[in-house]
Amino acid sequence: MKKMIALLSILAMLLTVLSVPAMADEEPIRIGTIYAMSGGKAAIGENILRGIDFAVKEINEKGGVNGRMLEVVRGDHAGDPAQGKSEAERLITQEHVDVMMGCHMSTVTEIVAQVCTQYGVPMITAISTLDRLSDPDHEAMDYFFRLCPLNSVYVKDMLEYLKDSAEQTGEEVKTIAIFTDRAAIGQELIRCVELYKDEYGFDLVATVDYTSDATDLSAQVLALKQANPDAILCDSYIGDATLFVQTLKAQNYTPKMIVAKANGFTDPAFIGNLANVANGVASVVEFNPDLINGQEINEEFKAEYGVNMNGHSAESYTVVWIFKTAIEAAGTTDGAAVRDAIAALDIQGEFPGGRKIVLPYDRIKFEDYDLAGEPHYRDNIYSSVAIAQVQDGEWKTVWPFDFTDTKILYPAPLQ
Amino acid sequence: MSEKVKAVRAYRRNVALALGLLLLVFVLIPVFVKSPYILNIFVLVFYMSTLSMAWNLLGGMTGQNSLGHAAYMGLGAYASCLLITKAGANPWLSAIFGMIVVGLVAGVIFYPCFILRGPYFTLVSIAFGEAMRQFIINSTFFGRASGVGLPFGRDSWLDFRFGSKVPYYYVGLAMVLLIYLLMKKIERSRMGYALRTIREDEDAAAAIGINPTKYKIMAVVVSAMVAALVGFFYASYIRYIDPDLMVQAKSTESVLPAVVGGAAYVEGPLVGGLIMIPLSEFLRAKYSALLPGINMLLYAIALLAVIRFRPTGILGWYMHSKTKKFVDEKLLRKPPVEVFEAVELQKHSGKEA
Repeated sequence: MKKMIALLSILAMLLTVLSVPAMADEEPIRIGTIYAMSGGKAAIGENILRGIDFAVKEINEKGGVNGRMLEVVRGDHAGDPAQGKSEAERLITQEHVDVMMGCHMSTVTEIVAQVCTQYGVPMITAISTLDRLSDPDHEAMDYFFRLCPLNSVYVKDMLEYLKDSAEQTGEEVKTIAIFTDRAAIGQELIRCVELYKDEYGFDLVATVDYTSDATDLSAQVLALKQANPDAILCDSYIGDATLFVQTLKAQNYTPKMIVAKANGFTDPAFIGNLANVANGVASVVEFNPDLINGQEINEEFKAEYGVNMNGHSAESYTVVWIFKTAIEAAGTTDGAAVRDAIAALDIQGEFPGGRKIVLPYDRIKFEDYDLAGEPHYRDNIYSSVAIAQVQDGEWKTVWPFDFTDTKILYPAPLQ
Repeated sequence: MSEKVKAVRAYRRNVALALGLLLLVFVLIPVFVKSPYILNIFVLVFYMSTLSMAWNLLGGMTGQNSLGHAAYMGLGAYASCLLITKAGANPWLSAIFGMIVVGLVAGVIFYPCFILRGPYFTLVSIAFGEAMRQFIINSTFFGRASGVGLPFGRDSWLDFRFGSKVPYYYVGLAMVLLIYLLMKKIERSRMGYALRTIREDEDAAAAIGINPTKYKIMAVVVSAMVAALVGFFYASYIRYIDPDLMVQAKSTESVLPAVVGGAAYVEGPLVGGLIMIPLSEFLRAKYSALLPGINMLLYAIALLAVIRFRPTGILGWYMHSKTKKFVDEKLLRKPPVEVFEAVELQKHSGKEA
């Protein structure tokens, strides 16, 4: 028995020694992250966490933040709002995180942001695009900031691209159609197109939807064919996106322009599934390896993880840098002070001591502003997206024109 | 004789004392435990155990395996949330409204199914859940896939809205107790006997004058109403609901505490919930950052172990264990069965005399 106790106590001591990091003289600054790491949405979480880890490593190698190291404490919401809430409470009250990042489902983000506000922990979302997170109902959620563009900004940029494309294609887009999922992503697309189409003078000739994981889309494609729009705007998950393009091909229908709102279309499997048939499909991207500001970081990222940086990794990478800059400006990790520092932040071109903003815009500032007649709060008003097009089996950035040299492939060949 | 009576009385007093102490512990927990995270786990235990008790009325007591309880819960949450957000109704009244709506829907949908026997009920319950989810996803009134959020604001009992966990803890505890007493009442009532008879042999039940369809409908309606109450509690606590609340996996989650705890006992879901939910939370907090998904794997292993080695659940094992014997005889001083019989006999003869 005594031996047992001795053995156990040695083991316990060993474990304590092992669990204390080498640089224990100063407490690390703890960043809480809440993403789905298990369940059906885990693949997305992995890309996000890579971006965070990459930034944390880079910052720690350069001496940390105010001489303190950064440490990431991971939580897993598994796609469930209730689990998100309980993870947020765990990270804040048990793990004592200083700042929070998350999530990748806007509905979970909303709940986590409420918890963060309640406890006074600053939170920035890298990728939650649902408009309502910053609407007047959430004005009081004042510890929550958003880096990424809102859904309506995505769609606005899609329409902007269609308008600008005439410059290269020589043909003006007049009529558009929507092809999308009945799930939340599709509802957002329809809502936003309705919001902006008149401003751009587009005529919406058809809205075609289907239920997720469809087994047959020929009726939908036929409806599009009959409407014969100049451009199709779409949003789908990967399975449906693949089937959609296959069905277009099977029905021998080649729309001149297809612009997707990311999701399934930018999934790495999309080009893999379709090979040449994908050529000409365009999509919104938050980041693309050939972006002028992104080429350098993508090389380093690829050397580390063996895959290209994607939009989610790039945006979460940027959020870590925002936290670093804000905590340095505040000189403390006190929640209210960091919150005020984030609110006052104005990054122009590059981060102090870091690189140029790797996203397709060159300024970051969180502001209260009006969007389509409704006030919004604490969004990065300079954020925007780029448009990339599949050319020779690869995503090439084609818009905004001053972030790339590649020209639009028109009409989309789909072969 | 009077000594035997005393012994029985002493035993009953001891049992009441033990239960009272247990209750006191739960009542006092928020006084000593200040961590919102730990309180959150208790709240989870309360509402999941209640949902599991609702399932157990059908699955355990009546032998009708439902795999659609998440749909009752979700529908209850939707009915009460929409009444709150669209009509500005008081949440407590909306809870009652939600329960009535779900009870009616369940009764109407399942009435025809009970004419059929066998696994049809289970199949219909699965279909019911998925149909409800699809209906909500495609209905603008229900907010489609975007879900419904309850307004945030100042703490208020009238609006059942709090920043702190403590009120939710006590309301959750009260809900568990109330539903437990209701289930205990049902178990000991005519309905309880009828349900168990139906579970064992439906033909025999019909032969002795029990109308199986009637009792099964009663069980479904009560069970669905309790699930709707849990839905209301969930919505008020999380303050956001979406159609994913009704996915099949959630229905399965409502079965687990009952199966692990012991589906044959009214207390089964309570014991199972108290063990499985903290275990699941602990595994996630401890391991999910190291190896994502490992918590689910360990959870599954724990579950398989219970099903493989203790198919009657934890209570099924306890009821026939030496531990129970020890607790009964040494701690609670339970007199032997003969003493009970003698006391009962005496009581009856006393009445007759």
